[in-house]
Amino acid sequence: MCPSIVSSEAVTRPRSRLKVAAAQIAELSASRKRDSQEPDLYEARFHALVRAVADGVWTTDAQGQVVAEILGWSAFTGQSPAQMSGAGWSGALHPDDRQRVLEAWYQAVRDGATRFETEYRLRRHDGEYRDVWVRGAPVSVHDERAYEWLGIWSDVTERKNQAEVLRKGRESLDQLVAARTVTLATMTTQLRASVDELEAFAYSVSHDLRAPLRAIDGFSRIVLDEYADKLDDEGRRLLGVVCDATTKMGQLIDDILRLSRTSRMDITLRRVDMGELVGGVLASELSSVVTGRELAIEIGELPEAWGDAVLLRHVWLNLLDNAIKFTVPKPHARIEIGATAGTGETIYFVGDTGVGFDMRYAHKLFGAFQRLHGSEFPGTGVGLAIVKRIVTRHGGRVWAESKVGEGATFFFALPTKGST
Amino acid sequence: MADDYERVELLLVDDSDTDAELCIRTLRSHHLANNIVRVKDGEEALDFLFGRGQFAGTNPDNPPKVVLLDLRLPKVDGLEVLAQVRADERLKTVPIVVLSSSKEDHDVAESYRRGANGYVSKPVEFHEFSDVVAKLGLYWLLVNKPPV
Repeated sequence: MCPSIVSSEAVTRPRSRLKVAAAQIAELSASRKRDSQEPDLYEARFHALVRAVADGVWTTDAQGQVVAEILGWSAFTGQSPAQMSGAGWSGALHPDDRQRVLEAWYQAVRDGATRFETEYRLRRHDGEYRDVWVRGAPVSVHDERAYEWLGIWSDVTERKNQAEVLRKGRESLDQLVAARTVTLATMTTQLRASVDELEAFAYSVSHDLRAPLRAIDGFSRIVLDEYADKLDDEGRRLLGVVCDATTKMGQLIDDILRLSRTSRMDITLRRVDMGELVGGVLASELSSVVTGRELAIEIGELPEAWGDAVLLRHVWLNLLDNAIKFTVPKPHARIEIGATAGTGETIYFVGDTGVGFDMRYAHKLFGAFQRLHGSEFPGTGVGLAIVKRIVTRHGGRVWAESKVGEGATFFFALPTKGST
Repeated sequence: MADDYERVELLLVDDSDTDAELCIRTLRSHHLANNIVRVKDGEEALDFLFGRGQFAGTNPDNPPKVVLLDLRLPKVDGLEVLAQVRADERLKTVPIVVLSSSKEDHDVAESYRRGANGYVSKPVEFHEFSDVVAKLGLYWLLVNKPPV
């Protein structure tokens, strides 16, 4: 509000209001007295605000020409107030930015834009180009055309550098991650290739070994059958040992192949009725070894599993076969099959009252062709290795507990559906 | 012309000399095959069946009563032999039984898919082996009636 307008209006009022006008004049002169100290404060506030938000302030006339000194500009660029006037300020801009900025500026002025914003490189007094950010708006009264323009400018070089450092950091991190991903993928492919090669090797070796084995057994048998009269008892016994050894080696080869097949087989995850699997295995493959035995088999509640029925059947077959095998020397033997719920997994177990094993060798149990018992128990030591491979391929784990002479319990835990 | 040659009753395709000897010995001891030819790889098997190469003169129209075919063979493997024989009008009906060391499901399935008439895996134990070969010979050479 302009005080001079108030006073001139007061002068035109009728005399009856003179007293009021006189009071207003008195008030006005008092306020003017106060104001006479305040312009310093207003200016100080204005300068503080500018320092808080920007490095400087600029104003232009309605045509976009600099007519008053741009605050902070001289100290920064070294341009004198005369040099910066009109469009002279643009002389301090980087030559590559000058035309673009001037065009944008006069465009904004002509179009009556409500705001102007740009960035350019500005030559500092020491010759270094700095990134400068500029923002301004037209000053207009009662929404009419711009009376003038008012704006701020700031050196944003440091902020831009920091952003650039961040961007570069992020970029190199992305590149690192991408490179690592490629390396990992390559390694996985190589590992897969090695495993495949190893499996192919096991497969081919096993098949190739069978032919000479058949020859050893075959020709020994032919000698035993057709030349028996030319051999004495010891000669026949020795050839018998050769034949027995080939039978044993034949079993070993079959087991290597079974183990290799377990790794190569595709896994199809479905809901599996474990009770049905156990019942099936006991009724078919294992029925012959159970009949005639004094053996109590207790089957507890077996929750459904999420897995491959064909492979899980092998797990039960091997564990139950072991339990039945290692309870042979024990009278009134008992086998307990059950399950308990774990965290995100179901733990199945087969416990027996058989001969057990020494826990000191527990770490060897699940290794291929590792045996903790001698030839008094049949087998090549591949059953538990197969169990471990299958359970591991399901994302589960296996372990066992035992005490020599008191039986053993084998556990396998399978993740419940959705927990993998 | 073909009638001038005594008909080959059994073609044995096996690269293992010992397997071949055990096989032929078993067949002979059971008086099952009078005229057996044994070849060592898939290429020789195809030459014999198509009457070319060293076997030019044999007649594809008068094939063996049965072919016992190993799978893992030098040069041309057993599955490829099956495919080529089954693609030929004259030979597509010749009985072929795969006799292999492999018990792999994949090998069995692939053999049948390519037109094998049977699949027998060779037991390692000689008495079982000789039993299997004798049964094979008995069935394919005496019991079975060949297509031609």
